[in-house]
Amino acid sequence: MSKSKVLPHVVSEEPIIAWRMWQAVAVLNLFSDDIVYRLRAVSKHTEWKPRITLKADCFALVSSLAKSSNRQVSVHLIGFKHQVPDIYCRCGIYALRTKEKLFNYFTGMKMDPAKPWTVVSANERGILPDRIMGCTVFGQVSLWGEIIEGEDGYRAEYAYPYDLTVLADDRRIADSLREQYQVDTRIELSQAHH
Amino acid sequence: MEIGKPKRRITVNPKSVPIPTPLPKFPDPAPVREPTPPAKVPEKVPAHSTSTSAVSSVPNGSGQA
Ligand SMILES: [Zn+2]
Repeated sequence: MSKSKVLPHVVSEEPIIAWRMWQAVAVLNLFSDDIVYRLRAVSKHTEWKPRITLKADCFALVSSLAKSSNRQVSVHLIGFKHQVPDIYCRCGIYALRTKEKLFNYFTGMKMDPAKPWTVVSANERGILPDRIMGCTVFGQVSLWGEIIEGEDGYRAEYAYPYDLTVLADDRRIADSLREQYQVDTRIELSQAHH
Repeated sequence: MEIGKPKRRITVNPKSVPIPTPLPKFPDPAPVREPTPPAKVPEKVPAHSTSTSAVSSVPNGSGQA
């Protein structure tokens, strides 16, 4: 189709490391009857499963089309099944280039990562219970597969946490995340005020 | 979240998936070795009995078995 944007393309064996934020949510482990903590995306609440690659899906027809005012984008998405992430679309697993950009984004969203959130109206995704305690977690994430690199960050096909920082003074959350995801996990309280 | 103006595409094929201690999808798929019955060694046809050149013209079934 007409003006397909051709981006420079590079191939690499090294995963891209970038920055993300999550919510740590309590999940009841039905086998052990323990509460464990899992990561989920802040906005769409996608669950990041421990020790499993997260693969990006595209829901372009339901979400991006509604947002897009660019008719060409719509035509492109309806007409062709596309590789995720697609340059014309908004799909992919998002991460930002630096920690500063990450925190700027969330303060721009009027969200205070330091503030533990308490009530979440969960949840069709099987996360228990429907009123849960949690906190914000940020950290680095490995990205691989097909990736669109932007000036401020990335949209990637595959991702997994690289390390985690829990923004709450709660060892149980940090210990649980470390055990679940098997990555370096620490607690940081000062970060909250940046 | 916005990633800013797209700059380039990167294809990352890592040598190994960057997930710590990945669990095998199927628990311990140790290769099952079935006891093989004692192999019946086909009797060796003496080498000289077979022509190595074009032999396909030998009619089916009529040759010495
Ligand atoms: Zn898409």
